Amino acid sequence: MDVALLLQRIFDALFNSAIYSSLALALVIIFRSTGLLNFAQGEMATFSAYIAFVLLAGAAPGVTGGGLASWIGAPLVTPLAIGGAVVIGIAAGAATERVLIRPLRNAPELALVNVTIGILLALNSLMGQWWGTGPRVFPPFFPSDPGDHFAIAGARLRFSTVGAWLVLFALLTVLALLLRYTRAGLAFRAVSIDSESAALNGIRVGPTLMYGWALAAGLGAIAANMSANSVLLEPTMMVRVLVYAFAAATLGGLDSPKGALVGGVVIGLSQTLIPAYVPFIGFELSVLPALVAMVVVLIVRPAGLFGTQRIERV
Amino acid sequence: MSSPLLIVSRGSTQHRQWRFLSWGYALALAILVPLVLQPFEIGKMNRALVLMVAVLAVNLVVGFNGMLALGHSAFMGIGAFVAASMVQDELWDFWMVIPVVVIVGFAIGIIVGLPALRVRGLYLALVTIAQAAVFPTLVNIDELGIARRTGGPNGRDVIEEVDRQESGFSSFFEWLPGVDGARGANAYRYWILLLMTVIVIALVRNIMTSRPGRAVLAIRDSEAGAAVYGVNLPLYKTVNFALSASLGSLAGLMWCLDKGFVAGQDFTFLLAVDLIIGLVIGGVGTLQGSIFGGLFVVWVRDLTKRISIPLGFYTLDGDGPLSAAIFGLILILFTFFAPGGIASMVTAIQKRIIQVVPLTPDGDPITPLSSLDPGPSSTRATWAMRFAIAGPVLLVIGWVLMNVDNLIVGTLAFALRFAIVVLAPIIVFVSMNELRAAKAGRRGENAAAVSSQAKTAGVLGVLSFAYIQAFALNIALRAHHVGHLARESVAVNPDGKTVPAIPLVNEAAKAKDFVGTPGEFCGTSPSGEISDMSVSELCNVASDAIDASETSVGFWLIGWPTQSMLSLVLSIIVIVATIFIGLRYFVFADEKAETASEPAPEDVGASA
Repeated sequence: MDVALLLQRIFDALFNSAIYSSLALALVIIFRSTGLLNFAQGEMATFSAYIAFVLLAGAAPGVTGGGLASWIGAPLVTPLAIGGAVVIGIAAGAATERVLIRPLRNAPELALVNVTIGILLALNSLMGQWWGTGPRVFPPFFPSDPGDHFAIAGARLRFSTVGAWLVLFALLTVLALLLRYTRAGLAFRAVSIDSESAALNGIRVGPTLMYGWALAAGLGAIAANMSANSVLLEPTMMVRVLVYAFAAATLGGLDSPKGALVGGVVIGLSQTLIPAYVPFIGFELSVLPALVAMVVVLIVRPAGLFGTQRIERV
Repeated sequence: MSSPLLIVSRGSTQHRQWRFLSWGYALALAILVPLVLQPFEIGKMNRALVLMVAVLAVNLVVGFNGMLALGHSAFMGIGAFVAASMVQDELWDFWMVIPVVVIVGFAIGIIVGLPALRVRGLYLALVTIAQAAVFPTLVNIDELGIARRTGGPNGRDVIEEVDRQESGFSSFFEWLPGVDGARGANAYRYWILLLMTVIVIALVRNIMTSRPGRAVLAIRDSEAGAAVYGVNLPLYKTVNFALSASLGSLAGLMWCLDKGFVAGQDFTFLLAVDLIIGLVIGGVGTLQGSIFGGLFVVWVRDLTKRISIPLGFYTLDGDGPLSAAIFGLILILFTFFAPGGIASMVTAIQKRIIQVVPLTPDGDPITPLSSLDPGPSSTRATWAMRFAIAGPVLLVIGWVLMNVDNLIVGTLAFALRFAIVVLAPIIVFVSMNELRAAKAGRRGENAAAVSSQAKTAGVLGVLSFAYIQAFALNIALRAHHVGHLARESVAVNPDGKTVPAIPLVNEAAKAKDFVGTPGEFCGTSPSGEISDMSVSELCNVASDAIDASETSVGFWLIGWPTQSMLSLVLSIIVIVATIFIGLRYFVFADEKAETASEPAPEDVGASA
C-alpha cells in the first residue's frame, strides 16, 4: 500500500470532515434544545454563503469588483464579507426560530419537520431565482494556490484543510466558553436538559432557544462559507453535505457535540477511503459506505457513539 | 353554531341517508374525473392515486405505529424496478407481477425493519432518510447484474399490457366511463389505479380495526404499556414495517403503470420528502389523511407551478422557478393554521355539521337525542336558510369570476362554484330535521316561524340539489358522447382518404367547450393511414377554432360554459328563487324586526 497516497487521501478527506462536523454540530445544537431535526440547516447555510457572495461582488451577477471590493482594500475584502454574511446568517437563524418555530412549540414533531422542509424548498427556490441556479466561483476562505500546502511524507496537507480545522477548533472553544461561562450559555444548557424545569426556575425558554438557533445558523454559515470555494457556490450546494451531516450527527449521537465532531471525521474518512480501497464501490457510490457505517453503529448502539441512551420510565 | 346542525344516532335512517349520500358523492367524483378532466389532468390524478398508496404506506409506520420511518421512496423504487424487470426481462404479464412485488417488498421490509426498528425516534428517521438517499445510487451498481436489470442511469421503459382490444381481462374495463374515447389510455389506467387504491385503503382500514391493528396502535400510544399487556413488540413492529414496505413497493408498481418508465432519479430523497409532506399535510394517523395528502402533493405542486407563470416568472420547461418557494410557503402556512393536517380540518368542519351519537349495546343512543336538541331557541333553520342563500350567491360570484383570465382567481371561482355542491344536501337534511322537530313540538312557541323558514330553505335546497344532479349528469353525458365520437366517426382528410376521428376535431371546435390540445385528439385517433402532414394540418384547423383561453376548462367541474337546457333552467330557477326569498327573509325581515323593536341588549342585561 502506498503510504503517501493513503496519507494524501486522509488529508483530502479531512477538509470534508471539518465541514460535516460543523454542520453536524449545528444540527446537534438545534436537536438538543428544540428536539427537532432541521432539514433547512443546509439551505440556511448556503443562503449565508450567497450573502457573502453578494457583499463581495455586488448584487449584479458576474460582476466582480463591485460591492465591498470597490471601497475596501483587497486583502480585507473576503474576511469582511464572510464575517458580515455570518452575522446576517446568525440573525436569520434567530429570526427563523422566532417567527416560524416558536409559534408551533406545541405542535407535533412532524409538523415542525414539515415547516423546516417548507423553509428548505422556499429558500432553495428563492436562491435559484435571485442568484441563478448555475454554479458560481467563490473566493477562497484560506490561501489555496497550488503551492499553499505543507509537505508531509510525500503527501500535501493543504492550508485550507488546516485552516478549516483551526476554525472548527476555534469555534468549539468559543462555543464551550459561551456555554460554560455566560448566563445565556447556562440557560441554554438548562433548557436543553429540561425546558419545563428551566422555565419554572425563571429561565425564558423562548429567547434561549432563539439563542440556540442563532448559534447553529452561525456554525452552518461558517461551514458553507468555508466550503463554497471548493464545491462551487450553487443553491443545492449543501444538500449532499446535509445528508452527510445528518449521518455524522446520528453516528456520534444526536445530542452529543463531541459525537458530531467524531461522526464528521468518520463519515468524511469512510467516504473517501472506502471507495478508494474497496474495488466495486466506485466514486458514484461514495455515499454508501458512510451511511452503512452509520447504520452499523446504530445497530450496536441505538443512540449513537456518544449519545445519551434513552431509558423509559413507565 | 355552537352545537352541530344535525344530531343523529348511529345506524338511524338519517345517519344511513347521510352515509349513502357521502358515498354517492365519492362515487360521482370518481366517475366524473376521467370524463371531465383533460388527459394530462387524469394523468396527474393517477399520480395522486399512486402517492395516496405511498403516503398510506408511510402512514402505516409513522401514523399508526409511531415509528419515524421516512425513507419509503426506496421501497417504491424497489417495487418499480422489480416490476420493470419482471415485465421486460422475464416477460411476465403485468398483473402477475403484483403478488411478486408485494412479496419482495414484504421480505425487504423484514430485512430492513429488523435492524432498523432497534433504533428509535429521530435516529430512525435519519437511518431511513439515509436509505432514501442511497437508493438512487444503488440502482447504478454494475455488480450482480443490478444495473442491467434497472437500466442504470438510463432507466427503463415498462410496456404494461394495457392494450384494451387484446386482453380479455382488460376488456372488462372497456365499459367504464372515459375509457372508450379520447381519454382512453389515461382513463383506463385511472380506473385500474383507483381500484388498487381502494383495495389498499380498505385493507389497511380492516387491519387497523382488527386485533393486530389494535396492537400496532397500542405500541404507538405506549410501548411499555403495550408490552405489559402482552403485545409482542418486535413481532408487531417488524411485520407492520414489512407490510408498509410491501405497500410502498406496490405504490412503486403503480408508479410504473402510471408513468411507463422507471429510473433511479425518480426515487430520490425528494420523493421521500414529498411523502412526508403528504403525510403531514394530509393528517398523520388517519386514513383520509393519506387521500388528502396524495391529492395535495400533486395538485398543489401543479398549482404552484402554474401560479408563478402569470406572475411573470417561467423557465423554458414551463415550470415557474418560484413554484417551490410558493409551495414551501404554503406548507409553512398550512402547518401554522392546521398542524393536524387536512384531515383534522375536515373533521372539525364535519363536527359542526353532523354529530353521530353512538349506541349502547341495547341499541339506544348513548345519550338521549332529545337532551342534545337545542330546543325552542334553535337557530338551525336560520342556518339552513343562510346556506340556502349562500350556495346560489357563491355560484353566481363564481360564474362572474371565472371570466377573469387568471389562475388564482379561477381556482377561487372553482371553489365558490363548488360550495353549492356541498351545501345543498346539508340544507335539505337540516330543514327536514327542523320540520320534524317543529311538528313534534320541540321548538315551542317558535314552531311556526321555524317550520316556515325550514320549508323555504328546504325548497331551495331541493332545487339546488336537483340543479347539481342535472349538471353533473349533463357534463358526464356530454363528455361520454364526445369521447365516443373519437372512435366512431369517419371523415375525409386532405389526402382524400377516409379516416376516423376527424369529426371529433370539428365537434370540438363546434362545441368549443370540449377542449384539449388538438394534438391529443389526433394522437389518439386510431387511424394508421393519416399522414403526419395531414394530422398537423387538421390540428391547425382545429386549433384556430378552439379558444386558447379554454385549455383548462375541463378542470371546472361546475359551470361548464354551455350548459344543457335542463341545468340552465334549474340554475336560473334556483338563483331567482334565492334572490326573491333572500330579500324577503333577510332584508325585509330585519326591517320588521326593527319596527317590532325587540328589547335592546342593555335592557336584556338590566332585566337579567
